[in-house]
Amino acid sequence: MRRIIWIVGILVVAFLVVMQFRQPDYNLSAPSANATFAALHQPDPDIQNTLQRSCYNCHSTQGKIPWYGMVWPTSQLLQNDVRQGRAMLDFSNWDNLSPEMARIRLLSSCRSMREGKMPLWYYRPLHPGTAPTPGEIDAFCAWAQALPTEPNTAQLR
Amino acid sequence: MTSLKIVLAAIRKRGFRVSAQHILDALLGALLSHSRMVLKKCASFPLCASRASRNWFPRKQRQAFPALPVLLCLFAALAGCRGVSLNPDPSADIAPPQLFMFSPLPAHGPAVGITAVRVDLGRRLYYDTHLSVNNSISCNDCHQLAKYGVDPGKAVSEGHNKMPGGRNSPTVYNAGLQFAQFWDGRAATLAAQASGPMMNPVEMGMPGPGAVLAYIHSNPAYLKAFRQAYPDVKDPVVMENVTDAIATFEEGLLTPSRWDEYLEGNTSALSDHEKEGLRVFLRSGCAACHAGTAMGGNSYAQLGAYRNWPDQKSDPGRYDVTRLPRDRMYFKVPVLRNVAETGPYFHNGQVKTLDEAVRLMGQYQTGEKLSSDEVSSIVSFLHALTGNIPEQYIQPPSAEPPSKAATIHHRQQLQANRQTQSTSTEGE
Repeated sequence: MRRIIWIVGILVVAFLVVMQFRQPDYNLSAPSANATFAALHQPDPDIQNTLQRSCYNCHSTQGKIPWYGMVWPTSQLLQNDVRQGRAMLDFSNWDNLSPEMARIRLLSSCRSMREGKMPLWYYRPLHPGTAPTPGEIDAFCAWAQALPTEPNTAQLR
Repeated sequence: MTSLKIVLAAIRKRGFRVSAQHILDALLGALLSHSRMVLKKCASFPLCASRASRNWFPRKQRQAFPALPVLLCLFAALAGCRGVSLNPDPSADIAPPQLFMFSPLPAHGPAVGITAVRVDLGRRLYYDTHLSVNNSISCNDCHQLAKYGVDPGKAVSEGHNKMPGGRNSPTVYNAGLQFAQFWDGRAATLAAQASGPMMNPVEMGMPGPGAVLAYIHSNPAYLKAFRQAYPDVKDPVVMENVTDAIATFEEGLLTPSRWDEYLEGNTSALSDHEKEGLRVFLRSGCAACHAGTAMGGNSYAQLGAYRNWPDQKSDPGRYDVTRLPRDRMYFKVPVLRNVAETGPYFHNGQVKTLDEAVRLMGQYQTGEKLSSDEVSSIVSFLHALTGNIPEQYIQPPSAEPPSKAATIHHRQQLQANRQTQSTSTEGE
C-alpha cells in the first residue's frame, strides 16, 4: 500500500514538474505611446492612478504577474482570466475603439465596479489595497458620464 | 439510474425536451430556491465560485454562509455540470440600464434638396455595370441591395473576370454607422471605400480613375446629373464627387428593426425566446464588442482574443494595412444588424450557419463554451436584428443605356488605360 502511495506521489510530482515547462504567455509588452487610454483621453491623474492600480494587471499589456502566475496549474487559470479580461477591455490598445465604443467600455467598467463585479472577488484578497474605494469609483463614473457622445469617426493610424 | 431513465421517458412523452441535466438544474434550483441560477463551467472552479458568489446570493446570505458558493460549485463539479441556465421567467424584460450600450437607429427621413439629387446620382452609379472594366458587374453584384447588401451564400464574391475576391463581401446596409470601412478598416469613410472595388483588379477592374471619369464624360445624362448634384464647381466630374455621390446614397441604407422598437421602449417588440437570447448575449460578453447603434462596426478586435484562432497564416487582417505586429489578426468587428441574412460569416466567409458562428465566437472571443440551448437563444435574438429593406429607396433607376458612340469611346479609353492597371489585390 505504502509503495503505491509513493509511486503515485512521485508520478504526480513528476507530472507537475513536466508541466512547468509549459510557460504561460501573457503577451506583455510596452504599449505604443499614442495608443493607450491615458494618451487618448488624458483623464485626471487621480482617475488614471485608480485605473492603473485596480485594473491594469488584467486589462492592459503592462500587468504585473505574481509568482504563482508562472506556476502550472494556476498559470493556466490566470492566463485565461487575463486573456478574457483583455478581450473585454484593454487600456493599452485603446486606439482600436471608436469614440462610441470607448464610451461604452468606460460606462460598462463603471457599472461593473459599482456592482462589485470588478475587481473579481478572488482578486481582491490576493491583491490587498488595490480595489477602488467608493469615492474613487464615483469620481471615475462622473468623468466617464461626462465624455461627449461623438458620432463614429475613424481612428486611423 | 434506471428509475431516472423512466422518469425522463415519462416527461418526454408529454412533449417536453428534457435531459438529466435539466433535472439536476431543477433540483439545484429548488435546493437554493433561487430563480436566476446560472451554473456554468464548473470545471473551471474559480470562475464558477466567483459567479456563484456574485450573482446567486443576496449580500446578506453571502455574509452568513461564505462557503455556500464554494460548496455548491464543488457539488456541481462533482455532478458533472456542463453549462446550463435556468430562467423560469423568460418574458421578463431587460432593465433599461442594462441596455445603455445600445442605441436605436438615427431618424432618417427622405433626402431633400441637393442631398436628394446626390442620392439619385449615387443610386444610378451604384447600379451601373459600366463602372467595371468589361461592363459586367456593378456595386450591386457583390452587395445586392435586395439581399441585405451582401452576395448571399458566397464565401467570397467573384469579380469582373470571375476571379474570387480576398474577403467576404460585408453588407452595405448600415455601413455608414461604422467608424471605418472594409474588414481591415483601411478606408475611413464610405466615400473612401467606394473607389476601392472599382479599381481593384479582381473586382470591377477599372484601370484607374481616368477610365471611370472618361465613361461619365461620355454619357450626357451623367454629365447633366453631376452638374445638378455639384452645382458650385466648374468641373463636377471628378473622382471625389463620384465616390461622394455613392456614399451619400449608401448613408441612407438603414434598416430599422424590431430591436429599435424594443430600445425605444416597446417591450413587446421581442418575443420571450428573443429576450432570453438577449440575456444570454449580454451575459456571455458578446456586447463587449457588438454594441452601439450598429451592434458592431465601432472597434477592431483580435480574431481569437481568448483562444488563438486556428488559421493564423492566410489573413493577418489589419496587419496588412498598418504593418504593426500588434495588429496581427485584428479585424473590424462586423455589424450584427441583419446578421441572420448576411451569411456566410467571418472575414473569409468560412462559416455557413449563424449557429456555428455564434458558437465559435463564444469559444474564441469571449471564452464561453455556449450550450446548444444558449446558442439557439442568441440566434433567435439575432433574428430580431433583421430590419426592413427600404424598398422604395433602393429602386433601380430606369435604364438609360449610354449611346452607342459613347460606349465605343469608353471601350477605347479603357484599352488605352489598361497598361496602368494597379497591383492591389484585396477583395471586398
